[in-house]
Amino acid sequence: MRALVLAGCLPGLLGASLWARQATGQSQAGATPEKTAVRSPAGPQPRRKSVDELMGELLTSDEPDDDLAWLYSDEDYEPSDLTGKPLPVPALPERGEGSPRTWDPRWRRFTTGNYVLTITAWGFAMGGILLPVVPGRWSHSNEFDERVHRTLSIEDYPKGQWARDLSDLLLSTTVTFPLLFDSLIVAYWYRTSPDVAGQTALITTETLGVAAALQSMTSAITNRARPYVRNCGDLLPENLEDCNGRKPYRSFFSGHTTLSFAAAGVTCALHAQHDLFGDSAADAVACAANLLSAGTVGMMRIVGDQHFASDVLVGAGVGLAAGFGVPYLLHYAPSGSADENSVAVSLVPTSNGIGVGGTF
Amino acid sequence: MWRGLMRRWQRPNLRFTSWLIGILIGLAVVTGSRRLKAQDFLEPTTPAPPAPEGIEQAVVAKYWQLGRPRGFLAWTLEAGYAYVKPKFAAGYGQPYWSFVGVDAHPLISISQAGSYFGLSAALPGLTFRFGARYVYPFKSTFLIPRDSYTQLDTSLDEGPRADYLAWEAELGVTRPLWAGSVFGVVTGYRVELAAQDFFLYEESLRVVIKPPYVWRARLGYLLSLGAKGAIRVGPTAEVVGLPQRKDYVVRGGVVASVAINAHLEAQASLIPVLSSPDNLGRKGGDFGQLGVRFRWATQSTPDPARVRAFRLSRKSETPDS
Repeated sequence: MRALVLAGCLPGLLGASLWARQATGQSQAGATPEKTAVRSPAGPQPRRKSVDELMGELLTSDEPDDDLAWLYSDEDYEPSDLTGKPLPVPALPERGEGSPRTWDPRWRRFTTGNYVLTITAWGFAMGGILLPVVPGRWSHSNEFDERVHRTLSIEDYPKGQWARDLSDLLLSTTVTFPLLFDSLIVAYWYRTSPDVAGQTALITTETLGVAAALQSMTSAITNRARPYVRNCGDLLPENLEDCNGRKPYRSFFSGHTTLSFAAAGVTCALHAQHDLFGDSAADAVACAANLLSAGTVGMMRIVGDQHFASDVLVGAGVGLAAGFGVPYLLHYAPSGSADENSVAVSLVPTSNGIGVGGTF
Repeated sequence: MWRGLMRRWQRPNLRFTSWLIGILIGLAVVTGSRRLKAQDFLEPTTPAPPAPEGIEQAVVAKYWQLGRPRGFLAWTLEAGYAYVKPKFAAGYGQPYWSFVGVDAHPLISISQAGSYFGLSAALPGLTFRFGARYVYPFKSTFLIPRDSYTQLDTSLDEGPRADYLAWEAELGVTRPLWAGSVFGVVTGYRVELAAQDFFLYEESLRVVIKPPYVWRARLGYLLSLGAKGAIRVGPTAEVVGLPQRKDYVVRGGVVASVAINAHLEAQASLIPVLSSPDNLGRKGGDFGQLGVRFRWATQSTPDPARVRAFRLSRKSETPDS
C-alpha cells in the first residue's frame, strides 16, 4: 500500500513541477517567433502588444549584452530591495563558478529498472510496519553485547537523552548531505551541472531505499528487544511511548546506523566519481567527515541505550555495503566492452518485476 | 502537448528540479504515518513543520519584486527530513512581495497531521497573516500539569489525545540593513479545544503551554554574502512567552540559506534553547532543520515598466554610464 502511495505520489508531483515550470517558462519563451506568430491575429488592424512582446522589445532593444539576463530567466537569483548590498567574499562559491561536471557515457544512467527498484525498496522499507510484533522472539543477548552495554550505555534512560538527540541530529545531517549539499548546492548550483545533479540525487535515493528496506524487513522479522525494554514497567513507566507498540522490538539492526553509513558511503562514492569539490583532499575530507558522523551515530545509539553493539555493527556493515555497492554495481561500474575486466550489473524491468543481468 | 512536455522534460534543469522536489516530497510524505514512527530511521530532529522563520521576505528574489500585479495562485513547498509543508495561496498583487489573499496548507509530518486556513497580506517589508490551524497528533496526548517537563514527560500517554485548534496572528517586518536584512516576527496563538486542566506540547513552537495563550517574538539579522547575495547566514534569537505558566523560553542560534534560483532555496537552522522551565532536548528547539523551500505562482512574467525603472536605476548607479 505504501509503495502504491509512493508510486502514485512521485509522478504526480513531477507532473505538478512540470506544469509549474511550463507556466514560469513564459518569460523565457515570450519573445520567440513561434509564440508571437501564434498570438498575432491575421489582418491589418493594429493590436495591443502582449506583455511578453513588450518584455522582448525592452530587453533586446539597445543593450542586449548587459548584465540583466536574469530578468528574463528565473534560473538566476538577485536579492530584492529588502536586502542591503551583498558583501563580496571571494572565498565563497558563486553560482556557476565551478567547472561543470558531465556524466561519463560509460556509466549507467538511472533507468526504468532503477526507478522500479527505488520505489519497491522504499515500499519494503515502509512495509516493515505491517509485520506483526512478536515480543518474545529475541529477548536474550550475548556476552559481547552485554559487556559493551555495561561499558558504554547510560542505563538511566532520561540521562541518556542527549545521546539519542545527538544521534537524531547527526542522522538528519548525514542523510541530507548528499541530496541537499552535494546534489543541489554543489552540482546544480555551483557547477551548473543539472544532469549530474539529477543522477546523483536519484542514486542517493536509490541507495538509501535499498538500505532502509534491508533494515526494515530484518528488524520486523527478528523482533529483537531493545536494551532498555528490560526496564519498562520497572525503572521506566509502562505508558512511555518508547515502551509501547513496535518500537521496543526493532533492535536488530540499527536503522539510524544503517542509513547514516549508507548516506556516508554514497557521499564518498559521489565525491570519488565526480570530484565534486574539485580537490581530492577536500573530497576525501567530505567522505571522512560523513563516515565519522555515521560512526558517531552508531556509538550514540549504544550510549543512548537504543541498541546493542551487534545491532550497530551489522547496521554499519549493511549501510556501507549499500552505500558503496549500489552506486558502483548499478551505475559507476564501466558498462559494455570498454573495459574487459569490468564487472557490471544491470536492472531490467520484466513482466514479473525486475530482472538482474550482468557482464563479467 | 505530450511532445511539448517531453521536450521540456529533456531540459536538464527541469528534470533536476522535478526529481529533487519529487524525492523530497516522496520521502516526507511516506513518513507521514503514526505507525511509521516505529521505524528506527524515522526519528528526525524536526518532528513537525517548524513555525515560520520570519526570513521569507528577506530571502525573496528580485524576480518576485518585479512581477506584475495580478490575480494569482501561488504554491510554496517547504520540505525536509522528515516533514513537508505545502502551502497554497490565492490573491491579488505581486506574490511573495505585495499582495492580499487567502492561504491554506495541510500539515504533514512524522508526528501529526492538520491544516491551516487564513488571510494574509504583504507590503514590501511588512507581512501579516491571521488564521486557524487544526492539529491532530498521531500519538501525543495532553499532559498532566507539572512545574517542569523533560522530553520523556512529553512522551507519556497520560491524557486525552492532544488535538487542538489554534488561532494565529503574525506580523513580520524586514528591512535592509548594511549588507543584509534585519527581520522580526511576532506571533500570538490562542489554543481552543484543549482538555481542561491539562497542559499541551505545542509542536509548532516546540514548547509546553498551559492553554490558551502563547506568543513568540523573534529578531534576527541575515547577512548577504557573495556577488549576488545568494548565500545568507546570520544570528537569530527569540522569546516564547507562556503567560499561563508565567514563564519564558529563550532560544538563540543561526539561520542560513542558499538561493539556488528565483524559485528554490536550501535552508538550514540551528536554534537551541538557552533558557527554559523545561528540558525537552531536541523537542525544545530547531536542531539541524535542513530542507528546501520552493516558490511558484501563476503568470510570473516580470512587469516591463518595473524592469525599465530598475534598469534605469542600475544605469545611474554605474559610474561610467
